[in-house]
Amino acid sequence: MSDDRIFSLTIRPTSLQDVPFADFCYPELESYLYICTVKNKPMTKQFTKTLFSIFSFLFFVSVSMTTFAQTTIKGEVKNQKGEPVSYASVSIQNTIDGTTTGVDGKFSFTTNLKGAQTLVVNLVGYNKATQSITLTDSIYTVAIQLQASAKQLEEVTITAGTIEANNDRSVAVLKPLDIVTTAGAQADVIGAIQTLPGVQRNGGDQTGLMVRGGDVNESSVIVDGTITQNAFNSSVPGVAQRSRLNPFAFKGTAFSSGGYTVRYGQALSAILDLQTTDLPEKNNMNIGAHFAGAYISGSKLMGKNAVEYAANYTNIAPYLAVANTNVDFYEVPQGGGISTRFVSRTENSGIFKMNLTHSFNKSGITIPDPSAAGATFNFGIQNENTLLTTSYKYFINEHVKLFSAFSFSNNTDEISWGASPVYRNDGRLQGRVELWFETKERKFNLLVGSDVQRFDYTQRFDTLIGQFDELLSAGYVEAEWKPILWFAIKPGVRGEYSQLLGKGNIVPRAAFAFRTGEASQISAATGMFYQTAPINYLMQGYRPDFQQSIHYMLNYQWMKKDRTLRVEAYYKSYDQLVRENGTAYTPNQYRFDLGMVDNSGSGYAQGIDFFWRDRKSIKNFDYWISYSYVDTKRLYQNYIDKVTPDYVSDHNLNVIAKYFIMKWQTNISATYSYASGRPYYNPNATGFLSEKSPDFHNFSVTFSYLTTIRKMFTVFYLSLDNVTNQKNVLGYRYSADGTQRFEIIPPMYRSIFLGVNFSLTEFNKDEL
Amino acid sequence: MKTIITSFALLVLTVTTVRAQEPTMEDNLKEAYAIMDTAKGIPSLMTASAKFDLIATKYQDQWVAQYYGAYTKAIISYFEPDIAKKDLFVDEADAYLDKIVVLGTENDHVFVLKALVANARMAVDGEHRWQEYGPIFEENLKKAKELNENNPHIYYLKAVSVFYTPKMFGGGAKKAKPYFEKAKEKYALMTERTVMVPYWGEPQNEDYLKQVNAD
Repeated sequence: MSDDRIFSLTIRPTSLQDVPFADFCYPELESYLYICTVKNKPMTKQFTKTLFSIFSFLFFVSVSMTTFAQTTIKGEVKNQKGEPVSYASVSIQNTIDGTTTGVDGKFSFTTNLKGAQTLVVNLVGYNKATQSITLTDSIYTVAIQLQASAKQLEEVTITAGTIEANNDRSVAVLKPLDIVTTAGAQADVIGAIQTLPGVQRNGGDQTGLMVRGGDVNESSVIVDGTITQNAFNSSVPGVAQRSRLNPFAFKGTAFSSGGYTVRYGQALSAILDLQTTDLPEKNNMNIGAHFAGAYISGSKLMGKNAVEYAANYTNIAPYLAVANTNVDFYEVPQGGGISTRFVSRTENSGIFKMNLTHSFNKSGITIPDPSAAGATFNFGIQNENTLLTTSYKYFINEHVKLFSAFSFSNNTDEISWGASPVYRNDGRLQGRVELWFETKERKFNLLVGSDVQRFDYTQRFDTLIGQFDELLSAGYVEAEWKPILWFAIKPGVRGEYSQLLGKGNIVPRAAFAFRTGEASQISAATGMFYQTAPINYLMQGYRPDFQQSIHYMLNYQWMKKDRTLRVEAYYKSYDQLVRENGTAYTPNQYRFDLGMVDNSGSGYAQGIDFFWRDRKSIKNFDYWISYSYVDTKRLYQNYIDKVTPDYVSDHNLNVIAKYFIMKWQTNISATYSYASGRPYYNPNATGFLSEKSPDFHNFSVTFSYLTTIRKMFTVFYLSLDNVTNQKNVLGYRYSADGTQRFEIIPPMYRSIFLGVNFSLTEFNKDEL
Repeated sequence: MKTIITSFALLVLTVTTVRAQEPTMEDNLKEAYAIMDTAKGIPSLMTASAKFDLIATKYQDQWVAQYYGAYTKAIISYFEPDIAKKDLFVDEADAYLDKIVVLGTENDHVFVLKALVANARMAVDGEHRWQEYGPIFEENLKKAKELNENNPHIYYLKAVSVFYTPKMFGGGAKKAKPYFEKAKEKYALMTERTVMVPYWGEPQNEDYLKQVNAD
């Protein structure tokens, strides 16, 4: 018993009967006196007089007493499920009388306090519980139930369709760094995205993202709220191109393989939504060199503003010297780029970002002629690209956010297609404004926004000129409501109007999520998506109606202590797909005679995606497995039957493992990819696109050695792609008369890539 | 009436004498600190923390009461295995820091505490947070040093941070050793050990020194 209670007991009535007429007494902390009220009014003088006699009486009584009547408060603390809660703090409000619960959730402590008190039970991760108790000199038993706080029982989040890699959340399926360090991805964001479930493994012959049965036209890349029209380097027939995206520029990656938000449209399948980094933490500088070039980048921090700059020169001659390529370069690819970026943190955690990039590339390559199997031709390209993006996020107050974004891009290709010169130019202007607000309890929020995009394409092939320009305006509203901790609903509607088609559409979309346990949840999403016809149709003057798809998906996610399981099943229907009528089928993507174009195409895709990641079981070892199965058929473009398209593998498997060997300061990352054979066109076969190429296998390894050289953090990396030198065959092409068969092969088999990066960060003075 | 006066006089007398016996905040802190100091794991840390919480609530205007509230939460966050919960403990530590800010106390101990809490926040997810919280940690140690370069905690915290930084990022036992040694010197300068002037960390510093010397 602590002796600070002697005094209070001495003058304290032992029970209410000791204070005649008083109906409520409570301890007044500062004076350690009891204040009593009569009919809720403080006592009058008269009663005070009476009290005095009582006090004097009590005083003598208590002095003669050697022990005092104490109350033992004991009980049990449980959670909602009725399980005992250990380590909870149990105390009497405004005193230091208290204890903590044991592993069995039980507690017991004594107090000298009497009368009406408030018992407070507290524990990190739970809401504070209070209970009124009335203490007499005996044992007081109490049972308390704690409710997990919103933070502990992490709020349900809508996960259907989207895999996020974000540094802002401590628990995420993937982190941006994971993407950069994936072997076989060649440090390309898109290369890494291709290892995620739902994405078709690109054998190396196509440029773009193919998601859940959709072709490369059906996905869109978004950076800071605006669509990046030229996310990839200009396409070269039969040779996959890298994306232009710098993997280190992003702090957040949200890949949506379907059912995505109404903020975006014009993608029948998927979107990749990227957010660039905020203010850098320190001044820094990076210098690097690798088999394909050299670069320098850095940032200068000035209070709440920062300027970043980067310059690079690429020349793949060293790479070609050690690699065996399956295509010949008559002009070694080289190029360069410069970019500058300004970031400013404004008040109320607002942020303004502006980025300007300009790049130039040229190359000459001898490749299989897409229009004549077995023949090759020279393809030369000079590309110039400019991209300006700005975005501004501003909190009007804690619950109201304003977001605006603007982008401008211009892209020019000068191509020599065999003997014919080709000139292509495209530009885009885009703006977006959004207002977001939430209620005070954060249970409901609403997003209202609008985006306008104007883009144009021009192509001159010899004497043939194709051109169009389009103005797309859209408005959208999306609400998110979490009436209870375990349920969320996110309905939205998007309206779009195309000036080119003179038509508009309005689409509904909705997503739901239910938390099913501490670590698991079920999420569902559905929605309608519209997209205008691919640009090669529009450029020739065809104006078919919007193509349409409807997505349904059901997702289960379990995430606990660095282990994640995701399973997602989906069904997607395609309607109003563009079709060419009155022409013969040719497997040439670059065909010019498109016949009569209408919207009579249709199709479907259904399948299941599976993702498992474990970075806990073995120390410094992290692995994930993604597997997708897709069953899809479509009748579109120049197809003559409803079949599985020639870019689809039914089964896609990726196993990615990363192991850090502390002793060697080396990170080893390995990726194994498998894709079942893709259909190819055999004019001699009975069915259309009925034959399939051999399965695709690829095993890649990357070693990174991390060290500090003269205070510069240094990374040496060595990548081996297709270590086993697997001779993958992606499909076959037949000669016009059908008598000869040629293999479609990737641009290279095994390849080696070596590089080094030095990074110098501003130092703090030594504390010694 | 006479009785009343007598008893009143006596009462006043008692009030005066007994008031003197009432344990002070320092006594309360001492008691809680003793539990904390001998704690071997989460159970006793939680007991100490619960006590510090009550003291901090009672002595709202005393920075040192808030200090121990934050300190214990930060220490618990290192021990807590659940990542999501780690953050919640650091949140509570931050809440105490906010109270100190409101009180306007700006001494070396407060800056050390700020560094410690930033380090605890970083440790939740070191791989992804070092960039953000590393500089906050350093900056607060620097400020603490400007106010009192003899505060041993500055060197102790820096030492531990270097010790756990992977070798390739310029850390490791060898690099940490001079900091532990410096901390030892500074601990030796502390003439009295009173809970009112935080003095934690000395035995741990000795343990690390043994480990570092053995390597």
